Amino acid sequence: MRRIAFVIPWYGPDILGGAEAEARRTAERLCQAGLPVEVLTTCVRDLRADWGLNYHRPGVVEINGVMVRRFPVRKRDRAAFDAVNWKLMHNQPVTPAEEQIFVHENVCSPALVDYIGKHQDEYIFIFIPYMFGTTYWGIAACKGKALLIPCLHDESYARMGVFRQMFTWVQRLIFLSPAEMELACSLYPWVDEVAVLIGGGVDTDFTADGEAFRHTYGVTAPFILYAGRKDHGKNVDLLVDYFRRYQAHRSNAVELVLIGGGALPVEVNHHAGIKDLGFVPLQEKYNAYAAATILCQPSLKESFSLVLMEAWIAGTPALVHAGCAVTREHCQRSNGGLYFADYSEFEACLDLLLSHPALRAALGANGRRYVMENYRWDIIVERYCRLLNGMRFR
Amino acid sequence: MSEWLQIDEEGEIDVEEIMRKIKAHIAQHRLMEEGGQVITPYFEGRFPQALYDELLEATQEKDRTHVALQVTRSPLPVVGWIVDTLRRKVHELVVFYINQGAARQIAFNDHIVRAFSALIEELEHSEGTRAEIEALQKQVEALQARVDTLETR
Repeated sequence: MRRIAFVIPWYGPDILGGAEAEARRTAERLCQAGLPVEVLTTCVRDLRADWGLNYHRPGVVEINGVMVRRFPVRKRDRAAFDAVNWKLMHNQPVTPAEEQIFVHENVCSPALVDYIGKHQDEYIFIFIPYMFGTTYWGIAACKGKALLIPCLHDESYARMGVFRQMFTWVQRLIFLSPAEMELACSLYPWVDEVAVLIGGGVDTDFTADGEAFRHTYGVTAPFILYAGRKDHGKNVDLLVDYFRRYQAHRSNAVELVLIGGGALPVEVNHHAGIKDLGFVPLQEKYNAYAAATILCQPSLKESFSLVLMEAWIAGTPALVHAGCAVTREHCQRSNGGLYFADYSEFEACLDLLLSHPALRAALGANGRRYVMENYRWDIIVERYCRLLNGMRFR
Repeated sequence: MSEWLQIDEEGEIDVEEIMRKIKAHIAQHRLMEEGGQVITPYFEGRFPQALYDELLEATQEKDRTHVALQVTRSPLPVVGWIVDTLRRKVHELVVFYINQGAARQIAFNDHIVRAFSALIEELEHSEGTRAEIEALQKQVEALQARVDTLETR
Protein backbone atom coordinates (compact mmCIF):
# COMPACT_ATOMS: atom_id res chain seq x y z
CA MET A 1 0.00 0.00 0.00
CA ARG A 2 1.14 3.54 -0.71
CA ARG A 3 2.14 5.78 2.18
CA ILE A 4 -0.60 8.18 3.27
CA ALA A 5 0.33 11.81 3.78
CA PHE A 6 -1.88 14.47 5.35
CA VAL A 7 -0.86 17.84 3.92
CA ILE A 8 -1.68 20.79 6.16
CA PRO A 9 -0.24 24.34 6.47
CA TRP A 10 0.81 23.92 10.14
CA TYR A 11 0.90 20.98 12.50
CA GLY A 12 1.56 20.40 16.18
CA PRO A 13 0.12 18.76 19.27
CA ASP A 14 -1.12 22.04 20.75
CA ILE A 15 -2.44 23.82 17.65
CA LEU A 16 -6.11 24.77 17.99
CA GLY A 17 -8.66 24.87 15.19
CA GLY A 18 -11.17 22.47 13.69
CA ALA A 19 -9.26 21.39 10.58
CA GLU A 20 -5.95 21.20 12.45
CA ALA A 21 -7.43 19.01 15.19
CA GLU A 22 -9.25 16.87 12.62
CA ALA A 23 -6.03 16.23 10.68
CA ARG A 24 -3.97 15.48 13.79
CA ARG A 25 -6.50 13.15 15.39
CA THR A 26 -7.23 11.31 12.14
CA ALA A 27 -3.52 10.89 11.32
CA GLU A 28 -2.86 9.50 14.80
CA ARG A 29 -5.82 7.11 14.72
CA LEU A 30 -4.95 5.79 11.25
CA CYS A 31 -1.35 5.36 12.39
CA GLN A 32 -2.53 3.41 15.46
CA ALA A 33 -4.59 1.23 13.12
CA GLY A 34 -1.35 0.23 11.39
CA LEU A 35 -1.55 2.41 8.28
CA PRO A 36 1.67 4.02 7.00
CA VAL A 37 0.73 7.62 7.79
CA GLU A 38 2.88 10.75 7.59
CA VAL A 39 2.19 14.46 7.80
CA LEU A 40 3.65 16.96 5.34
CA THR A 41 3.58 20.51 6.63
CA THR A 42 5.46 23.80 6.75
CA CYS A 43 7.69 25.33 9.41
CA VAL A 44 5.06 27.98 10.24
CA ARG A 45 3.95 27.89 13.88
CA ASP A 46 0.16 28.23 13.43
CA LEU A 47 -2.66 30.21 11.80
CA ARG A 48 -2.02 33.33 13.87
CA ALA A 49 1.74 33.44 13.20
CA ASP A 50 3.52 35.13 10.28
CA TRP A 51 2.99 32.79 7.30
CA GLY A 52 6.34 33.84 5.86
CA LEU A 53 8.31 32.99 9.01
CA ASN A 54 9.94 29.60 9.59
CA TYR A 55 9.32 28.93 13.29
CA HIS A 56 10.12 25.20 13.32
CA ARG A 57 13.27 23.63 11.87
CA PRO A 58 12.85 21.92 8.50
CA GLY A 59 13.19 18.13 8.66
CA VAL A 60 11.54 15.07 10.11
CA VAL A 61 10.13 14.81 13.63
CA GLU A 62 7.79 12.33 15.29
CA ILE A 63 4.72 13.68 17.06
CA ASN A 64 2.51 11.23 18.99
CA GLY A 65 3.75 8.35 16.85
CA VAL A 66 3.22 10.12 13.50
CA MET A 67 6.15 11.03 11.25
CA VAL A 68 5.99 14.75 10.41
CA ARG A 69 8.03 16.28 7.56
CA ARG A 70 8.41 20.05 7.83
CA PHE A 71 9.32 22.22 4.85
CA PRO A 72 10.40 25.89 4.88
CA VAL A 73 8.03 28.57 3.59
CA ARG A 74 9.01 31.37 1.22
CA LYS A 75 8.68 35.10 1.84
CA ARG A 76 5.37 36.60 0.81
CA ASP A 77 3.77 39.98 0.22
CA ARG A 78 1.60 40.07 3.28
CA ALA A 79 0.13 43.53 2.56
CA ALA A 80 -1.05 42.48 -0.91
CA PHE A 81 -2.59 39.29 0.53
CA ASP A 82 -4.28 41.16 3.38
CA ALA A 83 -5.85 43.68 0.98
CA VAL A 84 -7.51 40.89 -1.04
CA ASN A 85 -8.38 38.93 2.07
CA TRP A 86 -10.05 42.01 3.57
CA LYS A 87 -12.34 42.21 0.54
CA LEU A 88 -13.19 38.52 0.79
CA MET A 89 -13.89 38.76 4.50
CA HIS A 90 -16.31 41.61 3.79
CA ASN A 91 -17.97 39.73 0.91
CA GLN A 92 -16.75 42.18 -1.70
CA PRO A 93 -16.09 40.94 -5.24
CA VAL A 94 -12.48 40.24 -6.24
CA THR A 95 -11.01 40.17 -9.73
CA PRO A 96 -9.21 37.14 -11.24
CA ALA A 97 -5.94 39.07 -10.77
CA GLU A 98 -6.72 39.52 -7.08
CA GLU A 99 -7.53 35.81 -6.79
CA GLN A 100 -4.06 35.10 -8.16
CA ILE A 101 -2.58 37.39 -5.51
CA PHE A 102 -4.57 35.46 -2.89
CA VAL A 103 -3.07 32.10 -3.86
CA HIS A 104 0.43 33.40 -4.67
CA GLU A 105 0.82 35.36 -1.43
CA ASN A 106 -0.85 32.65 0.70
CA VAL A 107 1.18 30.32 2.94
CA CYS A 108 3.40 28.43 0.51
CA SER A 109 6.42 26.19 0.61
CA PRO A 110 8.06 25.54 -2.78
CA ALA A 111 10.06 22.70 -1.18
CA LEU A 112 6.85 21.02 -0.03
CA VAL A 113 5.24 21.41 -3.46
CA ASP A 114 8.41 20.04 -5.07
CA TYR A 115 8.40 17.04 -2.69
CA ILE A 116 4.74 16.29 -3.54
CA GLY A 117 5.46 16.49 -7.28
CA LYS A 118 8.49 14.19 -7.07
CA HIS A 119 6.88 11.57 -4.78
CA GLN A 120 3.36 11.55 -6.16
CA ASP A 121 3.57 7.87 -7.12
CA GLU A 122 4.60 6.80 -3.61
CA TYR A 123 1.88 8.51 -1.56
CA ILE A 124 -1.83 9.00 -1.25
CA PHE A 125 -2.00 12.72 -0.41
CA ILE A 126 -4.87 13.98 1.76
CA PHE A 127 -5.04 17.78 1.77
CA ILE A 128 -6.84 19.74 4.50
CA PRO A 129 -8.43 22.36 4.48
CA TYR A 130 -9.22 23.88 1.08
CA MET A 131 -8.31 27.56 1.30
CA PHE A 132 -4.55 27.60 1.91
CA GLY A 133 -1.57 27.77 -0.42
CA THR A 134 -0.25 24.38 0.71
CA THR A 135 -3.48 22.83 -0.55
CA TYR A 136 -3.82 24.83 -3.78
CA TRP A 137 -0.20 24.42 -4.94
CA GLY A 138 0.10 20.89 -3.53
CA ILE A 139 -2.97 19.63 -5.41
CA ALA A 140 -1.71 21.40 -8.55
CA ALA A 141 1.50 19.36 -8.23
CA CYS A 142 -0.34 16.01 -8.24
CA LYS A 143 -3.45 16.71 -10.30
CA GLY A 144 -5.97 13.86 -10.42
CA LYS A 145 -4.34 11.98 -7.53
CA ALA A 146 -5.16 14.07 -4.48
CA LEU A 147 -7.78 13.58 -1.80
CA LEU A 148 -9.15 16.72 -0.20
CA ILE A 149 -10.93 17.22 3.12
CA PRO A 150 -12.15 20.74 2.34
CA CYS A 151 -13.79 21.67 5.69
CA LEU A 152 -16.08 23.78 3.52
CA HIS A 153 -18.27 26.65 4.73
CA ASP A 154 -20.69 28.84 2.84
CA GLU A 155 -18.34 31.81 2.46
CA SER A 156 -16.81 34.05 -0.20
CA TYR A 157 -13.60 31.96 -0.45
CA ALA A 158 -15.65 28.95 -1.57
CA ARG A 159 -16.90 30.96 -4.58
CA MET A 160 -13.45 31.99 -5.86
CA GLY A 161 -12.59 30.87 -9.37
CA VAL A 162 -9.21 29.49 -8.28
CA PHE A 163 -10.81 27.13 -5.79
CA ARG A 164 -13.58 26.12 -8.20
CA GLN A 165 -10.79 25.10 -10.56
CA MET A 166 -8.87 23.33 -7.77
CA PHE A 167 -11.94 21.21 -7.00
CA THR A 168 -11.71 19.79 -10.54
CA TRP A 169 -8.15 18.53 -9.86
CA VAL A 170 -8.96 16.14 -6.99
CA GLN A 171 -9.65 12.43 -7.19
CA ARG A 172 -11.81 12.24 -4.07
CA LEU A 173 -13.43 14.79 -1.77
CA ILE A 174 -13.94 13.74 1.84
CA PHE A 175 -16.74 15.41 3.77
CA LEU A 176 -17.33 15.62 7.50
CA SER A 177 -21.11 16.01 7.40
CA PRO A 178 -23.99 15.53 4.92
CA ALA A 179 -24.76 19.28 4.95
CA GLU A 180 -21.16 20.10 4.03
CA MET A 181 -21.35 17.64 1.13
CA GLU A 182 -24.66 19.15 0.00
CA LEU A 183 -23.10 22.63 0.04
CA ALA A 184 -20.18 21.41 -2.08
CA CYS A 185 -22.53 19.79 -4.60
CA SER A 186 -24.49 23.04 -4.90
CA LEU A 187 -21.33 25.14 -5.36
CA TYR A 188 -19.49 22.68 -7.63
CA PRO A 189 -22.11 20.47 -9.36
CA TRP A 190 -19.53 18.03 -10.73
CA VAL A 191 -18.22 16.90 -7.35
CA ASP A 192 -21.03 14.47 -6.51
CA GLU A 193 -19.14 11.85 -8.52
CA VAL A 194 -16.04 12.14 -6.34
CA ALA A 195 -17.67 13.02 -3.00
CA VAL A 196 -17.29 10.64 -0.07
CA LEU A 197 -19.01 11.17 3.27
CA ILE A 198 -16.82 9.98 6.12
CA GLY A 199 -17.52 12.32 9.05
CA GLY A 200 -15.26 13.36 11.89
CA GLY A 201 -14.06 11.06 14.63
CA VAL A 202 -15.07 11.68 18.23
CA ASP A 203 -13.40 10.42 21.41
CA THR A 204 -16.31 8.68 23.05
CA ASP A 205 -14.59 6.97 25.97
CA PHE A 206 -13.89 9.98 28.17
CA THR A 207 -15.26 10.29 31.68
CA ALA A 208 -16.69 13.59 32.87
CA ASP A 209 -17.43 14.86 36.37
CA GLY A 210 -19.87 17.76 36.31
CA GLU A 211 -19.78 18.21 40.09
CA ALA A 212 -16.00 18.59 40.03
CA PHE A 213 -16.32 21.38 37.44
CA ARG A 214 -18.98 23.22 39.46
CA HIS A 215 -16.85 22.91 42.61
CA THR A 216 -13.61 24.04 40.92
CA TYR A 217 -15.10 27.10 39.25
CA GLY A 218 -17.78 27.98 41.80
CA VAL A 219 -20.68 27.62 39.39
CA THR A 220 -23.90 26.84 41.25
CA ALA A 221 -26.67 28.02 38.92
CA PRO A 222 -27.84 26.22 35.77
CA PHE A 223 -25.64 27.39 32.91
CA ILE A 224 -25.31 27.61 29.16
CA LEU A 225 -21.87 26.51 28.01
CA TYR A 226 -19.98 27.94 25.07
CA ALA A 227 -16.82 25.97 24.21
CA GLY A 228 -14.47 27.28 21.56
CA ARG A 229 -12.56 30.29 20.30
CA LYS A 230 -14.16 33.56 21.38
CA ASP A 231 -14.12 35.60 18.22
CA HIS A 232 -16.47 37.27 15.78
CA GLY A 233 -16.14 34.42 13.26
CA LYS A 234 -17.64 32.00 15.78
CA ASN A 235 -20.63 34.31 16.38
CA VAL A 236 -19.92 34.36 20.11
CA ASP A 237 -20.80 38.08 20.32
CA LEU A 238 -24.33 37.20 19.16
CA LEU A 239 -24.62 34.62 21.92
CA VAL A 240 -23.46 37.15 24.53
CA ASP A 241 -25.92 39.75 23.20
CA TYR A 242 -28.84 37.29 23.22
CA PHE A 243 -27.91 36.05 26.69
CA ARG A 244 -27.89 39.59 28.08
CA ARG A 245 -31.30 40.27 26.52
CA TYR A 246 -32.58 37.00 27.97
CA GLN A 247 -31.37 38.02 31.42
CA ALA A 248 -33.16 41.36 31.05
CA HIS A 249 -36.43 39.63 30.05
CA ARG A 250 -36.38 36.73 32.49
CA SER A 251 -35.84 36.40 36.21
CA ASN A 252 -34.54 32.80 36.21
CA ALA A 253 -31.01 32.38 37.50
CA VAL A 254 -29.11 31.06 34.50
CA GLU A 255 -25.49 31.80 33.70
CA LEU A 256 -23.35 31.81 30.59
CA VAL A 257 -19.99 30.07 30.96
CA LEU A 258 -17.40 30.34 28.21
CA ILE A 259 -14.31 28.18 27.84
CA GLY A 260 -11.62 28.41 25.17
CA GLY A 261 -9.09 30.86 23.74
CA GLY A 262 -9.65 34.48 22.75
CA ALA A 263 -11.03 37.26 24.90
CA LEU A 264 -14.37 38.95 25.46
CA PRO A 265 -14.62 42.74 25.71
CA VAL A 266 -13.79 43.88 29.26
CA GLU A 267 -17.30 45.23 29.96
CA VAL A 268 -18.82 41.86 29.04
CA ASN A 269 -16.37 40.04 31.28
CA HIS A 270 -17.64 41.98 34.27
CA HIS A 271 -21.29 41.42 33.44
CA ALA A 272 -23.16 39.50 36.14
CA GLY A 273 -23.99 35.99 35.02
CA ILE A 274 -21.25 35.72 32.38
CA LYS A 275 -18.13 33.76 33.31
CA ASP A 276 -15.21 33.55 30.90
CA LEU A 277 -12.92 30.81 32.20
CA GLY A 278 -10.47 31.01 29.30
CA PHE A 279 -8.56 27.98 28.14
CA VAL A 280 -9.11 24.97 30.41
CA PRO A 281 -7.33 21.57 30.42
CA LEU A 282 -8.91 18.77 28.38
CA GLN A 283 -10.41 16.89 31.35
CA GLU A 284 -11.96 20.09 32.67
CA LYS A 285 -13.49 20.72 29.26
CA TYR A 286 -15.14 17.29 29.47
CA ASN A 287 -16.27 18.07 33.04
CA ALA A 288 -17.75 21.36 31.77
CA TYR A 289 -19.85 19.49 29.19
CA ALA A 290 -21.23 17.24 31.94
CA ALA A 291 -21.92 20.16 34.28
CA ALA A 292 -23.63 22.33 31.66
CA THR A 293 -27.40 22.56 31.45
CA ILE A 294 -27.22 23.30 27.72
CA LEU A 295 -24.35 23.61 25.24
CA CYS A 296 -24.81 26.53 22.85
CA GLN A 297 -23.02 26.52 19.49
CA PRO A 298 -23.87 29.86 17.79
CA SER A 299 -21.30 29.53 14.99
CA LEU A 300 -22.51 29.79 11.40
CA LYS A 301 -19.36 28.32 9.91
CA GLU A 302 -18.95 24.72 10.97
CA SER A 303 -18.14 21.75 8.78
CA PHE A 304 -18.52 19.25 11.66
CA SER A 305 -18.51 20.81 15.19
CA LEU A 306 -16.58 18.56 17.54
CA VAL A 307 -17.77 20.40 20.66
CA LEU A 308 -21.38 19.57 19.79
CA MET A 309 -20.49 15.88 19.56
CA GLU A 310 -18.47 15.90 22.79
CA ALA A 311 -21.30 17.63 24.67
CA TRP A 312 -23.69 14.95 23.45
CA ILE A 313 -21.32 12.22 24.61
CA ALA A 314 -21.56 13.85 28.06
CA GLY A 315 -25.38 13.71 27.72
CA THR A 316 -25.88 17.48 27.41
CA PRO A 317 -28.51 18.85 25.00
CA ALA A 318 -27.55 21.43 22.40
CA LEU A 319 -28.83 24.76 21.17
CA VAL A 320 -27.38 25.78 17.80
CA HIS A 321 -27.84 28.55 15.25
CA ALA A 322 -30.41 27.66 12.59
CA GLY A 323 -28.30 29.51 10.01
CA CYS A 324 -25.60 26.82 10.17
CA ALA A 325 -26.79 23.97 7.96
CA VAL A 326 -24.28 21.53 9.50
CA THR A 327 -25.14 21.92 13.19
CA ARG A 328 -28.87 22.31 12.50
CA GLU A 329 -28.78 19.08 10.50
CA HIS A 330 -26.98 17.29 13.34
CA CYS A 331 -29.77 18.38 15.71
CA GLN A 332 -32.51 17.31 13.29
CA ARG A 333 -30.96 13.93 12.53
CA SER A 334 -30.13 13.14 16.13
CA ASN A 335 -33.12 14.81 17.83
CA GLY A 336 -30.48 15.97 20.27
CA GLY A 337 -30.90 19.74 20.24
CA LEU A 338 -32.93 22.78 19.25
CA TYR A 339 -32.01 25.70 16.98
CA PHE A 340 -32.71 29.42 16.86
CA ALA A 341 -32.80 31.85 13.95
CA ASP A 342 -33.37 35.03 15.97
CA TYR A 343 -33.72 36.28 19.54
CA SER A 344 -37.37 35.26 19.90
CA GLU A 345 -36.51 31.66 19.06
CA PHE A 346 -33.45 31.74 21.32
CA GLU A 347 -35.66 32.91 24.20
CA ALA A 348 -38.39 30.33 23.51
CA CYS A 349 -35.86 27.49 23.20
CA LEU A 350 -34.16 28.48 26.46
CA ASP A 351 -37.51 28.78 28.26
CA LEU A 352 -38.44 25.33 27.08
CA LEU A 353 -35.13 23.64 27.85
CA LEU A 354 -34.66 25.24 31.26
CA SER A 355 -38.14 24.31 32.43
CA HIS A 356 -38.17 20.70 31.15
CA PRO A 357 -35.37 18.60 32.72
CA ALA A 358 -36.80 15.38 31.25
CA LEU A 359 -36.74 16.92 27.77
CA ARG A 360 -33.11 17.95 28.29
CA ALA A 361 -32.21 14.44 29.37
CA ALA A 362 -34.00 12.90 26.37
CA LEU A 363 -32.29 15.28 23.93
CA GLY A 364 -28.89 14.57 25.50
CA ALA A 365 -29.47 10.81 25.29
CA ASN A 366 -30.54 11.09 21.64
CA GLY A 367 -27.43 13.11 20.84
CA ARG A 368 -25.20 10.58 22.55
CA ARG A 369 -26.77 7.72 20.60
CA TYR A 370 -26.29 9.65 17.34
CA VAL A 371 -22.56 10.15 17.99
CA MET A 372 -22.05 6.55 19.08
CA GLU A 373 -23.77 5.24 15.95
CA ASN A 374 -22.04 7.53 13.46
CA TYR A 375 -18.80 9.10 14.68
CA ARG A 376 -16.97 6.62 16.93
CA TRP A 377 -13.30 6.38 15.94
CA ASP A 378 -13.50 2.71 15.00
CA ILE A 379 -16.29 3.57 12.52
CA ILE A 380 -14.33 6.50 11.05
CA VAL A 381 -11.07 4.50 10.75
CA GLU A 382 -12.99 1.71 9.02
CA ARG A 383 -14.45 4.21 6.51
CA TYR A 384 -10.98 5.63 5.78
CA CYS A 385 -9.53 2.14 5.34
CA ARG A 386 -12.29 1.21 2.88
CA LEU A 387 -11.74 4.41 0.91
CA LEU A 388 -7.95 4.18 0.84
CA ASN A 389 -7.92 0.47 -0.07
CA GLY A 390 -10.26 1.20 -2.96
CA MET A 391 -8.09 3.96 -4.45
CA ARG A 392 -6.79 3.31 -7.96
CA PHE A 393 -4.03 5.38 -9.59
CA ARG A 394 -2.89 5.53 -13.17
CA MET B 1 -42.34 30.53 30.78
CA SER B 2 -43.27 27.68 28.44
CA GLU B 3 -46.70 26.54 29.63
CA TRP B 4 -47.88 27.10 26.05
CA LEU B 5 -45.99 24.04 24.89
CA GLN B 6 -47.01 20.57 25.91
CA ILE B 7 -44.23 18.03 25.48
CA ASP B 8 -44.79 14.32 25.83
CA GLU B 9 -41.55 13.67 27.68
CA GLU B 10 -42.22 9.95 27.84
CA GLY B 11 -42.62 9.61 24.08
CA GLU B 12 -40.20 10.00 21.17
CA ILE B 13 -38.70 13.47 20.82
CA ASP B 14 -39.16 15.09 17.41
CA VAL B 15 -37.00 18.22 17.29
CA GLU B 16 -38.54 19.49 14.06
CA GLU B 17 -42.04 19.27 15.53
CA ILE B 18 -40.91 21.11 18.65
CA MET B 19 -39.38 23.83 16.47
CA ARG B 20 -42.61 24.13 14.46
CA LYS B 21 -44.56 24.61 17.69
CA ILE B 22 -42.04 27.20 18.90
CA LYS B 23 -42.27 29.14 15.63
CA ALA B 24 -46.07 28.98 15.68
CA HIS B 25 -46.15 30.22 19.27
CA ILE B 26 -43.86 33.14 18.42
CA ALA B 27 -45.93 34.07 15.35
CA GLN B 28 -49.19 33.95 17.32
CA HIS B 29 -47.66 35.97 20.11
CA ARG B 30 -46.44 38.62 17.65
CA LEU B 31 -49.79 38.85 15.92
CA MET B 32 -51.61 39.21 19.22
CA GLU B 33 -49.20 41.95 20.29
CA GLU B 34 -49.93 43.75 17.03
CA GLY B 35 -53.66 43.31 17.63
CA GLY B 36 -53.80 41.17 14.53
CA GLN B 37 -55.64 38.06 13.55
CA VAL B 38 -54.37 34.75 14.88
CA ILE B 39 -53.90 32.10 12.25
CA THR B 40 -55.24 28.73 13.43
CA PRO B 41 -54.85 25.87 13.37
CA TYR B 42 -51.18 25.29 12.67
CA PHE B 43 -51.15 21.57 13.19
CA GLU B 44 -53.22 18.61 12.15
CA GLY B 45 -55.46 20.83 10.03
CA ARG B 46 -57.18 19.60 6.91
CA PHE B 47 -54.44 20.80 4.55
CA PRO B 48 -50.89 19.49 4.13
CA GLN B 49 -48.47 20.63 6.87
CA ALA B 50 -46.38 22.42 4.25
CA LEU B 51 -49.19 24.95 3.72
CA TYR B 52 -49.23 25.89 7.43
CA ASP B 53 -45.43 26.02 7.50
CA GLU B 54 -45.35 28.36 4.51
CA LEU B 55 -48.03 30.57 6.00
CA LEU B 56 -46.11 30.69 9.25
CA GLU B 57 -42.92 31.68 7.42
CA ALA B 58 -44.85 34.39 5.55
CA THR B 59 -46.26 35.70 8.83
CA GLN B 60 -42.80 35.95 10.32
CA GLU B 61 -41.11 37.38 7.24
CA LYS B 62 -43.77 39.82 6.07
CA ASP B 63 -42.17 42.87 7.67
CA ARG B 64 -38.50 41.97 7.22
CA THR B 65 -37.94 44.13 4.18
CA HIS B 66 -36.17 47.14 5.67
CA VAL B 67 -32.71 47.72 4.33
CA ALA B 68 -29.97 48.65 6.78
CA LEU B 69 -27.06 50.93 5.99
CA GLN B 70 -24.03 48.83 5.11
CA VAL B 71 -20.89 50.76 4.27
CA THR B 72 -17.54 49.02 4.35
CA ARG B 73 -14.39 51.00 5.10
CA SER B 74 -12.21 52.14 2.24
CA PRO B 75 -8.65 50.74 2.36
CA LEU B 76 -7.28 53.89 0.67
CA PRO B 77 -4.74 55.80 2.73
CA VAL B 78 -5.22 59.54 3.50
CA VAL B 79 -8.37 60.03 1.39
CA GLY B 80 -10.10 56.93 2.73
CA TRP B 81 -12.24 58.91 5.20
CA ILE B 82 -13.49 61.21 2.41
CA VAL B 83 -14.49 58.17 0.32
CA ASP B 84 -16.19 56.68 3.39
CA THR B 85 -18.16 59.87 4.07
CA LEU B 86 -19.29 60.16 0.45
CA ARG B 87 -20.23 56.49 0.33
CA ARG B 88 -22.23 56.80 3.55
CA LYS B 89 -24.15 59.85 2.27
CA VAL B 90 -25.00 58.14 -1.03
CA HIS B 91 -26.02 54.94 0.77
CA GLU B 92 -28.23 56.91 3.19
CA LEU B 93 -30.03 58.51 0.27
CA VAL B 94 -30.53 55.20 -1.52
CA VAL B 95 -31.66 53.42 1.63
CA PHE B 96 -34.14 56.25 2.36
CA TYR B 97 -35.97 55.68 -0.92
CA ILE B 98 -35.70 51.89 -0.76
CA ASN B 99 -37.23 51.87 2.70
CA GLN B 100 -40.16 53.97 1.49
CA GLY B 101 -40.88 51.30 -1.09
CA ALA B 102 -40.29 48.59 1.50
CA ALA B 103 -42.90 50.15 3.83
CA ARG B 104 -45.52 49.85 1.05
CA GLN B 105 -44.43 46.27 0.41
CA ILE B 106 -44.85 45.46 4.11
CA ALA B 107 -48.42 46.81 4.07
CA PHE B 108 -49.16 44.73 0.96
CA ASN B 109 -47.56 41.60 2.51
CA ASP B 110 -49.66 42.12 5.63
CA HIS B 111 -52.89 42.24 3.58
CA ILE B 112 -51.91 39.10 1.68
CA VAL B 113 -51.02 37.13 4.82
CA ARG B 114 -54.26 38.20 6.52
CA ALA B 115 -56.30 37.32 3.42
CA PHE B 116 -54.71 33.87 3.19
CA SER B 117 -55.18 33.27 6.90
CA ALA B 118 -58.85 34.23 6.68
CA LEU B 119 -59.31 32.02 3.63
CA ILE B 120 -57.70 29.00 5.32
CA GLU B 121 -59.69 29.58 8.48
CA GLU B 122 -62.90 29.79 6.46
CA LEU B 123 -62.02 26.60 4.61
CA GLU B 124 -61.23 24.88 7.92
CA HIS B 125 -64.70 25.83 9.21
CA SER B 126 -66.43 24.82 6.00
CA GLU B 127 -65.37 21.22 6.63
CA GLY B 128 -68.78 20.57 8.28
CA THR B 129 -70.69 21.97 5.29
CA ARG B 130 -68.78 19.76 2.90
CA ALA B 131 -69.61 16.68 5.00
CA GLU B 132 -73.30 17.63 4.95
CA ILE B 133 -73.27 18.00 1.15
CA GLU B 134 -71.59 14.60 0.79
CA ALA B 135 -74.23 13.02 3.10
CA LEU B 136 -77.07 14.62 1.10
CA GLN B 137 -75.52 13.44 -2.18
CA LYS B 138 -75.46 9.90 -0.80
CA GLN B 139 -79.12 10.23 0.25
CA VAL B 140 -80.09 11.45 -3.24
CA GLU B 141 -78.25 8.52 -4.82
CA ALA B 142 -80.03 6.09 -2.49
CA LEU B 143 -83.44 7.63 -3.25
CA GLN B 144 -82.70 7.59 -6.99
CA ALA B 145 -81.87 3.90 -6.72
CA ARG B 146 -85.18 3.26 -4.94
CA VAL B 147 -87.12 5.23 -7.59
CA ASP B 148 -85.39 3.22 -10.33
CA THR B 149 -86.35 -0.02 -8.59
CA LEU B 150 -90.00 1.07 -8.23
CA GLU B 151 -90.19 2.13 -11.87
CA THR B 152 -88.93 -1.21 -13.14
CA ARG B 153 -91.71 -3.10 -11.23
